[in-house]
Amino acid sequence: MATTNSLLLYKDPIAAADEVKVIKSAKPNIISLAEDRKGALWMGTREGKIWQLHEDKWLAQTNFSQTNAITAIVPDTDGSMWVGTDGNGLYRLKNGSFHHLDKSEGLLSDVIRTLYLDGQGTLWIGTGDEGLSRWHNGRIDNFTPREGLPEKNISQILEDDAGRLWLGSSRGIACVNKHRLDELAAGQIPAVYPQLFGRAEGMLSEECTGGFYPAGLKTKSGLLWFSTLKGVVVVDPRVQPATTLMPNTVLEEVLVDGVPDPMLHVSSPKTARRSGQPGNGVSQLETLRITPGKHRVEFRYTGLSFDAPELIRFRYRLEGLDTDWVEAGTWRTAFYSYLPPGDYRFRVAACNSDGVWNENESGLELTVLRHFWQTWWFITWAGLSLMVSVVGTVRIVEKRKLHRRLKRLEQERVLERERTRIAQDLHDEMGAKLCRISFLSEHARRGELPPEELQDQITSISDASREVLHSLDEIVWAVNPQNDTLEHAASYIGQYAQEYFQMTGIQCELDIPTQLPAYPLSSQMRHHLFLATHEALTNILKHSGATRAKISMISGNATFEISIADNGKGFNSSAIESKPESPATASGNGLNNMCQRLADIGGRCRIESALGQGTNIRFVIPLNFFAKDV
Amino acid sequence: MISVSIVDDEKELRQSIATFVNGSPGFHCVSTYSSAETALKGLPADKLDVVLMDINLGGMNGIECVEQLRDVAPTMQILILTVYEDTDQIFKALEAGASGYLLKRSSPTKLLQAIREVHAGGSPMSSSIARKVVASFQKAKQTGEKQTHLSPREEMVLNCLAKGLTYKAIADELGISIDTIRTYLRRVYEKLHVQSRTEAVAKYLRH
Repeated sequence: MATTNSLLLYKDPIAAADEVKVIKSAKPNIISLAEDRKGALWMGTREGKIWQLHEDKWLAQTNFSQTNAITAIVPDTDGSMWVGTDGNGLYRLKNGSFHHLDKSEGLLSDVIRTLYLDGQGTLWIGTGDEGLSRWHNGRIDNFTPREGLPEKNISQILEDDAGRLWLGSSRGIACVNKHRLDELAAGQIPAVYPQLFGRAEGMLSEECTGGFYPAGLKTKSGLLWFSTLKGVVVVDPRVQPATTLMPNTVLEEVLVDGVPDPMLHVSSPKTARRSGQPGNGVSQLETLRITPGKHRVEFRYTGLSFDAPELIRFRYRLEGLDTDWVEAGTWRTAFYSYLPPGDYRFRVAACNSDGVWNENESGLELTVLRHFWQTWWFITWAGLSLMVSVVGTVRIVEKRKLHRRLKRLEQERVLERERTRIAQDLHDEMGAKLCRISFLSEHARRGELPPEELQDQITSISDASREVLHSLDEIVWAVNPQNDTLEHAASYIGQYAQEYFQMTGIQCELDIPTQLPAYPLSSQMRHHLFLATHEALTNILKHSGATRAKISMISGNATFEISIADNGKGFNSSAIESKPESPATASGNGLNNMCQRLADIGGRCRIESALGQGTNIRFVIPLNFFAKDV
Repeated sequence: MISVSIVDDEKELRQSIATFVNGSPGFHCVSTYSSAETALKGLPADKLDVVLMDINLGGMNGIECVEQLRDVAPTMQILILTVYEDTDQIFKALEAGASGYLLKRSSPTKLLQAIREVHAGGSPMSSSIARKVVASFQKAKQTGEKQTHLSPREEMVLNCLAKGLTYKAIADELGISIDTIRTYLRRVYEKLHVQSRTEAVAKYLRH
């Protein structure tokens, strides 16, 4: 022991408390003592001088001059001596020369309070104003409160048997695992979380004294002695297991858009345990359902610990969104500005000063509901309907095109049929007549004919020519689309009948309504109607022996009727009716022709005649508003 | 002697009719024209009684020619000759001022008859033309515009014609002479002509 001006040597402190050898020293204010391998006693004074006492001889370190107090002397395994000063940094005496280490060389501070050399050859340096420094093989690492150190003033450094450093500071004793400090120095972890002991653990004063060496003491049994302002503190490191109680996390609140969710109730994680994840220790509350839309979600959690709660570190993770743990430090809020629809699980864990994360996490399952238009089935349905509608539209378009083409083809076909018919009519009607004219003329040309016969021939030619004109006129009339009305047909047929009977001695009366409805009659219909009428007129002229004929026309709602009556001799037939489907069974080609023509245009032919009572022929045709070519 | 002129764009037909007319006693073909334009130039100068005019002429058609001719020579009788019985066209020609019409395919005797009739002041009308005339006057009555109206007698004659009665039959029915019938019909044509004229002027003034 060093006192103000002497040294006290106790050979056996327990056995003979009184046996003390007093060695007077003329060197005042020895504040640090150390014994080197050779057995010499090294001393440092408050004035900054270093002395050696070896075999009762005092030796001064002459090549060492600085005026700051020598606060610590530590012998190194290779025979060198570490000397810490209170303001001048660190010195290493090796082979007679001093090597200076200070802030300029990377040392955390020049104010050294204590030194500790551990078994791995690492020198731990407690500074008075910045924190802890570490020197190993020339590499210096620094630890400050920013990395988790509780205090800047480290005045005592002790190591327990479990590899932990116990640091005495002006605010209690901190216990930190050396491995953690290594990891911190290597950049593997961002901070250390030392365990802290203060008044709550029983210290009368939290201020550990320092500025002298040795400060703090480790006994052979492993106990650690710290000196404080109010006495000595003895710590049994084995009583606290390396892994102490880890703080439990508790999810306090979940706020959706700033409003706390009422469904969540604060309970200890041990209650309401669901059968979710066995063995993992994650406590779950009921699943929270959040309405669809954009929501801000905030999780507020905390850790349960009496042990410096302000230093509990947290990490959280929202499974379904976060790919990894989010280091929250001491923040007790996790904030998400937008959660897309889906299922999530929020987990939060706390870690203790050892940096070991508590397996017992708090968790919450939540689901953000989807708008119906976000759900997979809606999207699928929308996609499908889009596809279907596209396909449908394409098909409709194609169908329409096809339809149009078909219509066009149909029209072309109709036109073709019409052309064929006209060609046929021209050939039939006029071919024969013209042929006749040709023969007649040829015959007339021969000079040998007597004048009367010549006259007859020429008359025949004349008549025949007019007949041809007549036929041509009808064909042209029938074909002309301007004549496609009921009015035209009635007018034409009436006029024709009149002319037909003009020179025949048969009186022809017409009974045609002055106003006929404006129904369209196709060319085909007009043509057949005309020819059927012509047939009937011919019958009257040639076979009936009548004196009067009457052509009447009646138009009904959906039908049009032409009646051709005469007062001739008639013929024996009960009323013969011919329907469009079956031709008439009456004898006589003329009648057959008539009925066939009517049938061709979808009409009916009624023949009423009795012997001696004249004949009445009735043609009935349907009137469609949109008359089609039959 | 009835002086006749022929306006037709078909050379052979024109010449055939001319020859025929010339060869018929009491008739004389004064001139022939192949187009409406030349006809308009030449006809007023000719001293004519009856003009035989085809509707389908190259260039200006017969109907227009009739209109213009009536302005220039109101006393000239125009008989429309046409191949086909296109009632619409014929009706238009009558509205324009023609005195009658005839189909080319009618027998030549009929042709001479028609010329005589027109010359005498008659107006040959077929039943279908009669129908159209009736309808036209009826429509005019319905629209209520200022129109010339048919007298009841005229209407009766017209209706009988539309029914297909011959002149003789009408004369018997109504107790009038055939000449009277002809006069009535001539008046009907005139009114038709006036009516169409009035209509045209009214339409022109409206716009």
